[in-house]
Amino acid sequence: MHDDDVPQDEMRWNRPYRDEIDAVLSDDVVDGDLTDVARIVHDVRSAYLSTDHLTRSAALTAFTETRLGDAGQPSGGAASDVNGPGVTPDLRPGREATQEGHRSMFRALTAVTTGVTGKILLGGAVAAASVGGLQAAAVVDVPGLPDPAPRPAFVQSGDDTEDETATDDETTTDDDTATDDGTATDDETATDDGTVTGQDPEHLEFVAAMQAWSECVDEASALRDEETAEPDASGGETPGRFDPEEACGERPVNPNARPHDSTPNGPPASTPNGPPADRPNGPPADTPNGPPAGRP
Amino acid sequence: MPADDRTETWFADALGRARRGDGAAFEELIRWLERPLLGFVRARGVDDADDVANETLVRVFRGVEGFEGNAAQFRAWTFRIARHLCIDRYRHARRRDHVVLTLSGELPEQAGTADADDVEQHDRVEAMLSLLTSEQRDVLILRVVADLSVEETATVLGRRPGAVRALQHRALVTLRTELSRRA
Repeated sequence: MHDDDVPQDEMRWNRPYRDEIDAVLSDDVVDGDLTDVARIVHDVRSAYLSTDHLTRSAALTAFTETRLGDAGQPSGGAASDVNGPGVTPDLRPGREATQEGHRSMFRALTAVTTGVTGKILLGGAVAAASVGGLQAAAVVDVPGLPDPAPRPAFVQSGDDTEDETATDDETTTDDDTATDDGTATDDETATDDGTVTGQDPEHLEFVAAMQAWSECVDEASALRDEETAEPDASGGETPGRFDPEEACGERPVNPNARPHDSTPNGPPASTPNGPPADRPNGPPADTPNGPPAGRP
Repeated sequence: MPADDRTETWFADALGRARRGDGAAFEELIRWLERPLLGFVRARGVDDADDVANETLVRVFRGVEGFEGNAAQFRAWTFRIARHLCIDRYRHARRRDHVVLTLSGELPEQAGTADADDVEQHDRVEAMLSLLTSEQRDVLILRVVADLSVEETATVLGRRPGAVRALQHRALVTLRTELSRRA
């Protein structure tokens, strides 16, 4: 501030400002100049200021219904002088509402926590089951889990079905039917990897044809035995070697037979489909129904 | 004790209790503000004055914990919020009325069921205030209806007190001229 500056108080004193509206509202002496202003102020206040109170919304009412925790009674002394009668509302409903709000909030938090925990546990269980399934299917190799189980096989035998496990070197001989000529029939087909299939319609047809052919061979063999046992009226010749294909036609061929079935390393002797490769088609030499091997 | 000092003493006590969540303190603040607040909102031409006044007070009470100041500053803060809400409502109403006019070609009906005398008085004042600029009208309403001082009005409008005095002076000159013309 310079020395020749005038203090603000002195400036205000030298230039007094008399607000017209303040003069009217403070009921100062209204001279002729303020009559119009007083009329304007009166008209405006009467047009917009009313004696009715505010219609309070729920949000605003929530503020007035709150209560001091332990701070004591709300004071109404000086406030009552300025703002009319003091306000002493019954605030117990407000406290109960607050407690109820806390309880509902706690319930909501509990529900959310429970839901999240349940979802996490369910997700973990699904993930563990998936890993276990993949381990069992030998898709993945997880340390600590048991080795994959052998692959299950589905077996159909006649009208009955059952599950069984077949390994590589294992041959299933379930419900086998052995004929006198050593032909074994079965309703199942064993493949190299041990998987047994019984659903193939061609195979079923083959089995049925093979069974019919076997019965035919049995009947033909029995008939021939009877003829051999009786003396030939014509002093005939001893019948020659029995040929099943001659008596009952060509032997049915297994449609599922692998090309290497005919190789020396073909199916093992116990393979149920058809006669063993190293067996003759006729009955074995020691077969009771067949002719003795040393018989002329 | 002067009235202003008593008001400041009461306000400091009520504000402290309101910060602690005392419903009675909020009740006292509402009774202190509701009439000038409703008058200000009505003078701004808002249809649902109660709704705007409620929203204003709710916003004020939600922010009361962070408020620092005296009674005059609290009133100025309150009316500043109210003015902003009125401006928002006016913009929304203008868009809505534009749609109504476009669809029906008629002016929307005025809300309220006041008496004929009140309507006439209201229309006469409205006609006079329509002669003022927006800022002059705001100054006059805040000074007369909201009962704010020049400094408080300057705070609400974001202007300096000298500018408020100038706006008020020009508004009164215009209204005086109109009254003389009508007489």
